[in-house]
Amino acid sequence: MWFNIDFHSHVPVYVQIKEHIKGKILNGELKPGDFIPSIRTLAKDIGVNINTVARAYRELEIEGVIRAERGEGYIVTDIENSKIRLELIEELERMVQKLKQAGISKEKILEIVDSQFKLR
Amino acid sequence: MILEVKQLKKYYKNIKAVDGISFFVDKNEIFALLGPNGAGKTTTIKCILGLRNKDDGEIKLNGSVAYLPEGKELYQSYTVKKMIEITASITKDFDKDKCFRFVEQFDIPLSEKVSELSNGQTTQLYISLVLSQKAELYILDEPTWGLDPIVRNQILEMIRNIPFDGSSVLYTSHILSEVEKVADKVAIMNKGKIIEIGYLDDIKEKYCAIRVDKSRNLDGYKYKSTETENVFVVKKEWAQEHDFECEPITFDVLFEAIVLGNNSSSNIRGEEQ
Amino acid sequence: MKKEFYDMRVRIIGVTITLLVLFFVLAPFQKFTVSMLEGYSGNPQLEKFLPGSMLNRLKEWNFYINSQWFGKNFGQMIPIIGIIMAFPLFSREIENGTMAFLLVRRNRKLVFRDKFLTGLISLVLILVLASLLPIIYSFLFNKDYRYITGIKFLVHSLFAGLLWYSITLLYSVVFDDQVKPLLAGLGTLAITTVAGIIKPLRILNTYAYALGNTIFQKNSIDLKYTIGVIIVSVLIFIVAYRIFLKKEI
Repeated sequence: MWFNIDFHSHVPVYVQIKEHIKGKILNGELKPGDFIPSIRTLAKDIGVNINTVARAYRELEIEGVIRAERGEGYIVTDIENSKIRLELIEELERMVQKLKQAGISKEKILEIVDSQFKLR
Repeated sequence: MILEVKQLKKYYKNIKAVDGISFFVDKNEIFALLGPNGAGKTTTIKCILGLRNKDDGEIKLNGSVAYLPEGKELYQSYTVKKMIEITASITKDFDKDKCFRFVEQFDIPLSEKVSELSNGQTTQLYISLVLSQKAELYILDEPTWGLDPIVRNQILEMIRNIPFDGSSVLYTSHILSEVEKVADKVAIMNKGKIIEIGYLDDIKEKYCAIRVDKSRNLDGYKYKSTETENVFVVKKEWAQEHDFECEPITFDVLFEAIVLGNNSSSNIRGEEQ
Repeated sequence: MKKEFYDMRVRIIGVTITLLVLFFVLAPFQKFTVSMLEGYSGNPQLEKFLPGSMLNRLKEWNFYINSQWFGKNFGQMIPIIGIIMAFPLFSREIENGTMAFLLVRRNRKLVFRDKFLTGLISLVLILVLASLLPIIYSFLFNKDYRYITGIKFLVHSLFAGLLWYSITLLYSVVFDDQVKPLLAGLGTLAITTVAGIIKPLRILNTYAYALGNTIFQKNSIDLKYTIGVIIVSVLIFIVAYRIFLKKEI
């Protein structure tokens, strides 16, 4: 697994790792039941410290996104009720509020939602 | 803990080079000691290694050490080959074959005299010597100084790989972008004291920038002054308590704020003047 | 210790070759020298340096080789050899910055011991070899030489060299560049020798001892001075050791 890490960003590296993994789960690259790389392997592959990856995995585990399978590694959990969805919904709420403040009408916003679902 | 430093003090006549610092390096950790020139980083390292005598405090080193000094001084009259052979004869746990492989990888001719090597090559040779030694703690003083970007990345990768085999790294650097790529924990030193210490990610999240009207002056680090605004770097906690909008900042801005703020003894807690 | 011997190679080879040259411009040329000097006898200038009685004594092999080798060519070099062996021992690596390289890999006691011993062994071997040259040469070329006298000279040479080795070793530990210990050693030599002109400070003139004064005068080793030199040298070594253990690099 590889993705680019921006070391210079104000977003901490472990947060970037979490976001990338969540992203892969959301776009279907990682499905529930799939194994994600071991801490060592991911650290080597993306060029990051072990401790940083370990922290990302720890937090993902707490958030319920992944689960440690004894002796085998980390496995993606079933994300039905996990935080990822809740986080994304919160982000949408914030975005809608920003659009509302910018003066964009409710109709326009609903238009956008429609077109996105039409694309599917 | 592979290294524990408690209240270390080292004075030179009137100058308090190291004025009561404490930190520790865990196993499998890369710890970066940052700070402007004269902050006391090299003196701290030399005290840890026993090259200088401390005036007060405790240093507990629980393992073997390998050292890369800032000046990368080697025996000028030796050939590269001889330098490796001599190092092998006086260093414990030294893998000579590994060293020859490093030197080959770096394309350094074995028959060349050390005095004929460029600065970059000398650094590469010294790093080869240090990394071929099996130690529990690698102390590296400005390891990538003077190297071209490609070699620099190679070295950073090597440094990053050290904890994979169970060892730790304590290193100093001026190059913040590098430290961001490699360090787990960071201590920022200035004028002999440690003014900020913690996991790099945590430190980054701890501070932010706030914008206030130009007429207001906070007791914090004034990062910028535009036509209409003053930009201050303050602790996020304080900013949120006082209902300021937090702008995220990059590490170099943060570093500048912490050090220069410390110089003017301002308190980046950000109290109103 | 291999490294230390390797680092000393230029000094060891240089000094050895110099001594061999100094010996071989001397030993085979007794008859030549004597006849040349006889040609000048009667010259008042020469009478000052070479009284007629001495010219006769030079015709005798023992006196010739002892006075010219231990009393001149080699004898004058002895303190300088001690100084040369010692001056860069510590100061060179401190100046070059490689002392840190050593001290991080081996503890200070071992580093001191290795450098101290390497210099000492080299010094001893050179001085012994040089002192034995008359004996060896005489044996090979069937010259009638009193071996015991040669051995007595060896004792003076050895301990005179040791003294100046110890003094310069101390300078090498104390100073941070190569030149200062050399100058300090030579300077100390010059000062003590000159000071020795003053009667009460006679003891400071180590050259008298190095050149084998009592052996020429009384055919015996100056035991008191020898013991004094040993004690002073040992004390200086201890001081140098202590200073090195605490020295800031």
